Amino acid sequence: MLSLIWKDFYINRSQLVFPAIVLCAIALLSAMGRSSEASLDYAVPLLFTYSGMMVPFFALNSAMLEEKNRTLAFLRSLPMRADAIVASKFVAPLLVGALWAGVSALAALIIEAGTGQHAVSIMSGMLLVSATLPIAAIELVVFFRFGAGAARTALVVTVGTVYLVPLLAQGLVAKVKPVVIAMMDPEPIHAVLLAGGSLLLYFAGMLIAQAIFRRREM
Amino acid sequence: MSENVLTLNGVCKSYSGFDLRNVSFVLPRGYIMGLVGPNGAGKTTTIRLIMDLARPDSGRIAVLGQQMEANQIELKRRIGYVPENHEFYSDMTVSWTAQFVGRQYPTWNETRFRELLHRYDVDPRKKIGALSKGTKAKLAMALALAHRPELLILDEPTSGLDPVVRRELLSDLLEFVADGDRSVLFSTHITSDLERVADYITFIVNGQVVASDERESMLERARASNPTASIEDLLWTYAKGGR
Repeated sequence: MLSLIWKDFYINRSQLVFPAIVLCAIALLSAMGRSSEASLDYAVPLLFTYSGMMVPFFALNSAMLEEKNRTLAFLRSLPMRADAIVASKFVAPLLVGALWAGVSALAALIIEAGTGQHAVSIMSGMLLVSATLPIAAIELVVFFRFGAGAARTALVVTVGTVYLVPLLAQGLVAKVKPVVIAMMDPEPIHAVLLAGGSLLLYFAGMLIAQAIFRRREM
Repeated sequence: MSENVLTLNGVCKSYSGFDLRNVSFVLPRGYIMGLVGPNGAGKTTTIRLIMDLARPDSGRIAVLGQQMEANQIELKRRIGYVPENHEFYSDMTVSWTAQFVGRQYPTWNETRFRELLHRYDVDPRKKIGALSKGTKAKLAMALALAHRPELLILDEPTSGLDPVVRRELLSDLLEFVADGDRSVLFSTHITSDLERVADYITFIVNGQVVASDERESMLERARASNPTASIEDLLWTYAKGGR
């Protein structure tokens, strides 16, 4: 399975490398400018955006490449278990998410060291990556059942729902602000609980996708 | 060791608009079998069923004496498979693809792979997306042969190849089975390929095996009534519903 994970990581490496370079460069620039206002205006929103996109988009890109090249059948013809093919599609984005959490923590430290102010927590990236794991899981389950086009639609619909449901439930856009503030400086226990719960959902998604793919004919 | 490397017994598979019915044949060890039939006859479906890329509705398939479903990894390590459409990662190079495939086979022989690439004139530095259909077919063949499989399963390996490469590939098949321990199943609708290399021929028409036997025995029987009968004549007769 390691070769499958490495393959996914290698083929889609630009999905991690370019955002990491951009984020660290902007964090450095805002730190050199010694302005916490610039950090908040540029680096922090970028950190939030990339952290929210990293895992679902890495998984989607990986799925779409398999479909474009029609390589799922190629993989199934090789001596490897169908379960390992599915597991690699879940584990590779998870590793990318972990690496991204490290990059975003580094960016947070650069900003703090440069400005001398606590603009964003080193755990924010990890928190957002964790929050998006169930979205990526839904997308990958849909991919293994219906294909990459449906997975893309699932991503759009799920992200929209994730935004809409809390708004509708609370009735006020203003209520989102405390959530954003909490994400910028989360309590460690909340971050750990969210990460644990998201991981559980993510692996449950993996088991469903494995059951689907085992039965799928190429 | 099993006497037959491949045994299909009463294999059925239904899709909407197409049925594979009661397909049975055996391939003895050390021989080349051509699976021949018109387009849409069920050749690719049969091969996909053998490779466990699709599941039969009924019937039994034994590969190298074992059931594929229960022993997938072990069996696939002993098989070289070339599909009809050569599906690789288009942005990756030939070398990278070989490295990835080679990791899956404990018997992978990199020197042998490089030799084959050289013989087929495939540049290992080129990206897959930049290769022609024929070159992709040659790469697929090199990948299938480089781990020294016991059984080669090829789906239309010669279609889209120029005559020179086709002849080269067919002579590779003869070389492959020369030690008497390796076998080949290949599907085709080019009957001249069968005249050159096949020891056994299985005719498949409309999802049914209409004949499966040694090539020479079949031709002998056909030549009793028509002294100039060829494989193409036999295929034409079967395709038109004759016996």
